[in-house]
Amino acid sequence: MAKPACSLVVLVLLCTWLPSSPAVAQGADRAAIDARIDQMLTERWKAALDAEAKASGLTLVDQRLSGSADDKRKVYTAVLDRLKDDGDILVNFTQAYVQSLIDEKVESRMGTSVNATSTNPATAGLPERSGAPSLAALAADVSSLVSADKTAVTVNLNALAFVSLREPDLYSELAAYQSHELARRFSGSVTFGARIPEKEITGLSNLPDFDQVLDAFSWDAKVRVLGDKDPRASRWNDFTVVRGGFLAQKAALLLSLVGVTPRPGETAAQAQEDALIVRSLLEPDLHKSISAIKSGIARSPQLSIKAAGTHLTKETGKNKYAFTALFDAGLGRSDVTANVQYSITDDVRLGIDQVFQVKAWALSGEVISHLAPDAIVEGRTLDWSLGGGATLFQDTSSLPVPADNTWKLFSRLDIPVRGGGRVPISIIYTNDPNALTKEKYVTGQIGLSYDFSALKELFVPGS
Amino acid sequence: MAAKKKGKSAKRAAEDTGPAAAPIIVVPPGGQLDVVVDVGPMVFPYTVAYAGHTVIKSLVDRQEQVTPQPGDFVLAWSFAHGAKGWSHQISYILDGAEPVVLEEASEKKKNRDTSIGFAVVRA
Repeated sequence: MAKPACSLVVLVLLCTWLPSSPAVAQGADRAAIDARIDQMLTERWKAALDAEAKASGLTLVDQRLSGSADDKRKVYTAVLDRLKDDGDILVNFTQAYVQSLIDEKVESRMGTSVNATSTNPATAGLPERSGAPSLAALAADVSSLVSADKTAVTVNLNALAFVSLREPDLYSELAAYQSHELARRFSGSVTFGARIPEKEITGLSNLPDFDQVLDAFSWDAKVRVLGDKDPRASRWNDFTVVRGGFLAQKAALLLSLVGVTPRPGETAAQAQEDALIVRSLLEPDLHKSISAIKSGIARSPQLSIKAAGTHLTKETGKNKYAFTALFDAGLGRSDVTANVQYSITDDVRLGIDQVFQVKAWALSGEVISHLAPDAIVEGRTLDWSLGGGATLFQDTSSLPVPADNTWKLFSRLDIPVRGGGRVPISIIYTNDPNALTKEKYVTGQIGLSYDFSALKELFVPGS
Repeated sequence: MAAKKKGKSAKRAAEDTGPAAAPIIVVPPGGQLDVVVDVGPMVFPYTVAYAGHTVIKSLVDRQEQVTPQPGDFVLAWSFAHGAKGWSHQISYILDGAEPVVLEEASEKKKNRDTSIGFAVVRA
């Protein structure tokens, strides 16, 4: 009888000693890693501060420097420069540490926003960015599920709407996103009641009724096959959770090391002078580093493939099906967007018994260069776009109506103005005269357009 | 990590010690100081550190107790945002009293998406 009792005692002791759950173990690991990071940063800070203070002839008492604010600023700047190499600290962050941060439970969660644009002709034209709607689920943000313009109603759909979320318990934004990353690759929309110019359906621009507006029902389905520009994606964990999280941790920890003990006769502001200086040095560094991470993610390459259909609701037999590849990426100071579309349109202009098919390739591309940052308006750039597009018909000889290939080249300058507005000036060169009907000034194959309405903001008091 | 305290409305920090100075949190002997962080969607973990130690590093709402050291030490925080609809609020609770807001910011209010702040804990 002694043996089972002894075993029971051992079991109880083991249960007491062992972590009660993997989550607790993960939390302990995380705390240990954070403690190691704290120690490494503290040692480096103190060593660098000692060295730089001595080199500058300033004394260090209670982790505060003596001397003028300018002298202190120079020393702290040099100290922070010494601490810029973080490579050996970052290796401490294990995959388990990252996952533990992501999986930590939250008590409430906000709905994600929808940026869906319908890919049918009613609401968008080429070139179009490859991003998918960020609708989390049908129930997550119902107010943005449906959008409408003057005549059309668009319902945005996401494959995520058809899967259940991970658990009723709520998790971090990253956990919610990363638990259904595959489903997030699929998106689509359905538009009812759109009124679309015939040219947008057939692609034929040289017909007398090219601008006739027709009632249509449209749908599209898109799948993202390469990349993910969403910073919540797991592919960016090393940049967001590891690197970005470390930058925030480093800033807070270093600031917490600065002495603030008042010396006799000092005010609170005087005692906090060093901390205020260090904060003023850390803030722009953090902002710059985080902005670089965000920009890198936003400008990463992304490729989506889309299928779309447009069906006339008041004219039998007229349907259009399109298959499109959408690509965009950042290259240096420029953004590149390229689309390739193949479309098949059933045309019944000669009667339902003489239906014929128009098959066409539509190619388009645009390079937007962001120039002269801060030169005209702080924080904004002069954007210069160069682009072009072409519609190339297949097997035109078999078509019962004339079908001419069309092309256009364009350049646009977007000049920023104070108050948030922009002055766009564009020029277009095309072999399709119908593409110039909306230009302000046309001569031959060239059209010029401009909009100076944003300039009025310059004369608004306080702008 | 303790459960987040709910049901109390936060009020502005009342112990601001001047235009250039950070607030001073005076903790009486044996007093309990808690830091409370409420965040919206986050992609970069935020950190709260006190006297050279990370108190909270997280992507979600947290409340943690700070063990004050005798003397004046810095309680610092750092937030960086990259998700749509971001927001954060950091407060402290002294001996179970009403939370006092140290900093709050949000995309809605068009605040800068990174921030570093501090208060002085006097014990």
